[in-house]
Amino acid sequence: MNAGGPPREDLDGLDPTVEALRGMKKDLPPAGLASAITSGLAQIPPPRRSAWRRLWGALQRPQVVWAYRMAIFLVLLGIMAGVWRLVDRPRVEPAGNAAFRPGSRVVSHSKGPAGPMIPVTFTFYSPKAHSVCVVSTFNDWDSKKTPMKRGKDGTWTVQVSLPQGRYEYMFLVDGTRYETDPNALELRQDGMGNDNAVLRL
Amino acid sequence: MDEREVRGLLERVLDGEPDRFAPLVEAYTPALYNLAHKMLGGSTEASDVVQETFFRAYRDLGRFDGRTRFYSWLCGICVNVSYDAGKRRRRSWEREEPMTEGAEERLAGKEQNAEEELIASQEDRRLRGCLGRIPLTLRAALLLRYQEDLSLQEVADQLRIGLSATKMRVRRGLALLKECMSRNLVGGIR
Repeated sequence: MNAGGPPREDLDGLDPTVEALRGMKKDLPPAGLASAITSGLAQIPPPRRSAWRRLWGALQRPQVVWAYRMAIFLVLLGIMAGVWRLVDRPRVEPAGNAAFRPGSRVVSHSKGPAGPMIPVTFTFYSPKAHSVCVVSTFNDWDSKKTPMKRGKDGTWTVQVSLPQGRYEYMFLVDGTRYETDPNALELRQDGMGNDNAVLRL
Repeated sequence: MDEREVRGLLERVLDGEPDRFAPLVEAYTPALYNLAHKMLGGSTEASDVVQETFFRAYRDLGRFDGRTRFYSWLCGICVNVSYDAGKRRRRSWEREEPMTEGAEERLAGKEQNAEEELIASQEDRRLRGCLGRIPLTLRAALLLRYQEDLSLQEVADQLRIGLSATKMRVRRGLALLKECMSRNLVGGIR
């Protein structure tokens, strides 16, 4: 026996006291004890699963398992949709900078069918502006020649017909502020700290 | 009866077939009787303990969580019922006569004498005598471990004590038993 420490199960067999305990004669129950007990059990109400185990058992049923798998899938789908909307939502337009609208689908200009004069539509989103016009090399930077019209959604548009060529342009907002087209494909510095948008036809 | 078979029967009992509990009573009565008898050293009391064990197990079957063997769970209940029976017996002795030092051991010795006619082996008789003299908590640990062949962890689970405490009880029980056997003590061990 390993008297110095706790008993070790693998060494139990070496201890004569343990062997004696293991070898003790089994005491047998009186005949009919099991039958008497079984008869006595009839007087006790039949056992039932605890409420928690019944609930757990119900949750293990295949139909329920599929139902909550589907519920988990739908919840995950909802979370993903929410995240997507959050990522895809356009940023709020900063105050005082009406031209800046990243992610907008406003088309700045479009080409018409090929010909001597090409119709081009300028669009500029600026819901707070009172007036917007296009000033460009095609109108000698004259703010009165190409005024734009405001749409209900705050988008200003104007259509002009131009011959093929290269043009630089800006949007003049409220007659005082020059804004570069945020959707321009090409820019050119004007030497005074601004970037002119470049249109090639 | 293997554990899978036992679990199958228990499920059926809980599903509304109470008769399926009878084979379990039949299977485990001898082992529980042996445990109770050695715990208390009284044949009649042991029968009552086994009966109460099965009654409690049947009543609380819905709470059996299946984390231990069913037999191990039954042994745990049997030990608790034996403790209760031991306390009742002690109280009845106290009512009949004031408990004097060694009275319990002397009574245990009387019960042992009644057993002697049935027990052939001298060694077995001595061992029973000594087992009856060590404290009930240590006796329970030794019997669960070496008579009912439960693992130390199972003993710990059923006695609701930690593994270290179980090892200590087994070690202490063995030490007392060995001391008693070697000295062949007539009196009790405290």
